[in-house]
Amino acid sequence: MSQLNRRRLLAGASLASGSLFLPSLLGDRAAHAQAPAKRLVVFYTGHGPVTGKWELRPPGMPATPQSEWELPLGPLAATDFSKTLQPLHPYREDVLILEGLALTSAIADKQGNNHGVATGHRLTGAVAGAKHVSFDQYVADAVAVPGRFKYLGFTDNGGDVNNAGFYDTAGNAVSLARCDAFYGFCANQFKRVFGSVGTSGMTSPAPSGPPTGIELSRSRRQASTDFLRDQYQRQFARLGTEDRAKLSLHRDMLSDLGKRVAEFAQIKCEKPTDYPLNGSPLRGKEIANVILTKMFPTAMACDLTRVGLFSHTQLTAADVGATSGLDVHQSIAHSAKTEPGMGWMENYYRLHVDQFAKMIAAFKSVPEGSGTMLDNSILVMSTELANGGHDLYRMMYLVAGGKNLGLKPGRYLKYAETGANPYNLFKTSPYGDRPGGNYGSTSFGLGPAHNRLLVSLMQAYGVDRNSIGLDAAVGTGYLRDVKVEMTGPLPRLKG
Amino acid sequence: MRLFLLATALVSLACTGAIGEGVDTSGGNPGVGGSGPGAACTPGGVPPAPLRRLSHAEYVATLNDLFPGLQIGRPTLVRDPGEDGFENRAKLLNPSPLLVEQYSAIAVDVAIKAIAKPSAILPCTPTPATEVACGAQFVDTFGARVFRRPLTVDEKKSYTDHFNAERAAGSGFNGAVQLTIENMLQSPQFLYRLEFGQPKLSPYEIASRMSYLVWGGPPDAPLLDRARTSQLDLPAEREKEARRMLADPRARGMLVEFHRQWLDLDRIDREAKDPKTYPLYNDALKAAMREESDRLVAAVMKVDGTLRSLFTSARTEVNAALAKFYGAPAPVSGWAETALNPMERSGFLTRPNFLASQAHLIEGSPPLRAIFILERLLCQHLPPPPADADLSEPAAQGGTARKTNRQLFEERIQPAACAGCHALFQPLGNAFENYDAIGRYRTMDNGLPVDARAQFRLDTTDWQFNGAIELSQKLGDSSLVQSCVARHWFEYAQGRPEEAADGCRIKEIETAFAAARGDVRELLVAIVKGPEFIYSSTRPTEQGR
Repeated sequence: MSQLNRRRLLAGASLASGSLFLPSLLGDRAAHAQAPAKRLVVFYTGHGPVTGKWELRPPGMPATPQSEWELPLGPLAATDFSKTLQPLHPYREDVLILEGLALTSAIADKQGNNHGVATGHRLTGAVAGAKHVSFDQYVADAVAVPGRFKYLGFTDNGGDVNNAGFYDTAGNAVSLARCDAFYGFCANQFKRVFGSVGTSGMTSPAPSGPPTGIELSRSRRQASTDFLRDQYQRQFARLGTEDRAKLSLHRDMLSDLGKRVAEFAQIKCEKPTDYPLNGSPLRGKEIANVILTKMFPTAMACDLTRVGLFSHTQLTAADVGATSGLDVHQSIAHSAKTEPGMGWMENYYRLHVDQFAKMIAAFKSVPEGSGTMLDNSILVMSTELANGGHDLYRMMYLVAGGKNLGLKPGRYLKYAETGANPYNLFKTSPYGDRPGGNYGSTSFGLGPAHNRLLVSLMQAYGVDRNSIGLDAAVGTGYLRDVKVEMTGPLPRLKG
Repeated sequence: MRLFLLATALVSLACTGAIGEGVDTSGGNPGVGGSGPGAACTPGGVPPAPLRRLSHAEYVATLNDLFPGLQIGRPTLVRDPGEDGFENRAKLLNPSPLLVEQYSAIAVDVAIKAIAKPSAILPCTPTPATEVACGAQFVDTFGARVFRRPLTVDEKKSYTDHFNAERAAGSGFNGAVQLTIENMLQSPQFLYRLEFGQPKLSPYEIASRMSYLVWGGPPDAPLLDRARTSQLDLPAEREKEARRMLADPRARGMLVEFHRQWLDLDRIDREAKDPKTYPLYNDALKAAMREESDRLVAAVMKVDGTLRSLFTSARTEVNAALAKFYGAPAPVSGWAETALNPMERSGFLTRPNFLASQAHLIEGSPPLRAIFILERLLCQHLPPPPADADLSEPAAQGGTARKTNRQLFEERIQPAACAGCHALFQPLGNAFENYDAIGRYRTMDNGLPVDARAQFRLDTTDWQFNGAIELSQKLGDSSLVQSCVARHWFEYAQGRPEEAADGCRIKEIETAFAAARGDVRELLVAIVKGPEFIYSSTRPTEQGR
């Protein structure tokens, strides 16, 4: 394969959509290729920023939680940005910064530790324990192309799982791939995603005979897949319903894999040739950097997938300037109300915001149509909690791109925190614990439910849903007797 | 363990009275087939056995058994979800796109390596004239090892046809062998433990149940031979085979694997300590502490296999790093057995793996250590802590404000919202105050004498003990622990949580376990001998799609 420059390749007239297929392969995907591919990336981070320190409070804007206002980010200087958000300044015209949303469904579902409920609700808005579908999976259903990865999910060394805690729309657990020493380093993940791309026509039969080894395996993939499908199918008649469903799922996944390997072989695009730090162990933040700035932008430019998720468990103490080995959860996140914990957690989130900014830059560097790939993509940064103190209200959400998906970036949106407040309603908790709230929570209400942001994002991709998870926050927890609006899109994202 | 734990959780949710009060642990809950106390355990009462995918440990062991010369290391496999610490719960072992990809990549990789030395896997030497016959023979013999039983006529035909089609399509004989291996390693017969015998399992299905329980891997030739002659229907024959298998080194590997999951032995890999307080605690020491646990389990299982030894043995094996930690003589090389001070060390709970894993950065954690014992050894479940519970470690102070770690934790739990639960279980953790956050023995804490005296009540049990040595003795002799361990093993064998209909069967193996004075090996024999071991429930079938 000739080493085409990606920009040149993408700028080619017939490929301006960003769908990098050879013309002869457009075939049944012609309809997809005519319109720009819509992509989504979710960057999910652990703990939360420092409440009262990450927000923008420019002169003239009301500072009360009850206020609602909007601020164009374009005219702001870097010094107008908080320390946490400063890395976004160069991309201020590309982002929406949202302040005031609450993880209301998690509050409603309050059963024990907030880490648990926040993790369950982060992408689903649903009660933990059920097979809840994450919003990105609804989006994947809407935008995925057959023969490609429906989604690519990754996590750092803290959390590889065959079940990330949420499900796709068919009821299958979403799995996240690890990218560390135990599981083959990031290089293996790059090989997994890009290894078979463009291999068709690159191999020639060995002089002495037919293809062998991996070439044989690739060349006979379709026949093998058909054979294996049949082997799975043959077991069904003698299995009970649940067991059959399990094997049926396996069979279908084998089929998808077979299709993907065959199709990837035909794709021509500029894939990475030097896999990042091949064979070297990566630490959590390095893994995030590699996935957010190399894996997702390249895989999406090549249209290998249209939905990506990176779930970051926890940075290290050294990452945030604290004593190496210090317990990040107990000694840093939980200590963020005072120094030095506050400064460490500011560093913590500045680092994550910087990673997010670098991903924006990577998406923006890919020309697409008359703009860039960022215009046809939405990048979301969602924190686990509102702060290191486990609060679930005044969450920080960052949304980048999406100009061609109906969003109007370049603004800071402050939402009024005037809704029902469980911390006011229940002076004593139904669970015997303190009603809590670490930042004056009894003096104001809750902002809009985060479910509504998820609804807006789904609708941006044409998903015909007006709610996700809980339709109304009538839960078993703090909001057990209170109705909070959980349906419909979040206002003001479109300008 | 569903009933037992749920019932207990309901009681302990409010954390009033004693943990476990009012819980019926008799196992006498009548279920399908009638299994009250004294009732016969009838095969008809066996709950459905869900289809089991090989766990990752079983998958690796099976691959290694098939390709002994390849030395397959730890492959890239996405971690499976666990339940109660165990990683072999059938309902959780589902496929995922990522796992299916990984299985495929491994199958291709192994097949390519295997075909590099055809004589190791081929039962014949192919010539142009014998390729068809040799291919059929390969499918037959290699397939029987992969499927852990002889191939059916249909399977033989479909694999042989596919082999010949590939050979004819230009893949060549060796290419067809490679592709056959790839396909077999991704087949349902290999990746899943298909059990079609109803209500009684087929002899080969019984053989696989036995081998994956006792070895964590596939059946060997003698066991398959027993299956071929249908002798495994007989409890006495199963017992005989189980004893043969338990004497095999593979059994110790499986016993270590069970304990890895049950006792959360890998947790120490994730444990950091304050480097200023513990300059000794480095990766080499941590790895040694981790390996010591495996060696302890293996040694106990080799000697008498009892819970008592697991919780009371003062023998251990050390390498140079661990010898320094214990203050024991360093071995000349590698690992060597040594005797520890029995006044300081008594079995697993007084070893650094447990003590460092259930601890904070600077100090040991009485709550974490207690919860571990409560949940893993006594099968009790606690509700999660309140959302805003302060889970950090209390900071020790000097001077007149000087307090011990125990005193600091006792202050921490004084509020009523904490004390309700902690007062009930935390005494178990107080017994370990003679050990710091990496498990070093001490008699003084922060300049004050250690107080490791405590009292713990559970149901009719009322234990008073002074320190971890006495507590370990009580746990090693406890019928509650024996019962809990028997339940863990039963669930591990079945690949599913306990159900109501299992009541009387669990009672039977508990009785056998007690009669064997807590010898885990005898517990396994009892499980294998039991009638439920060879039965599958009657399940609804529908026409396949």
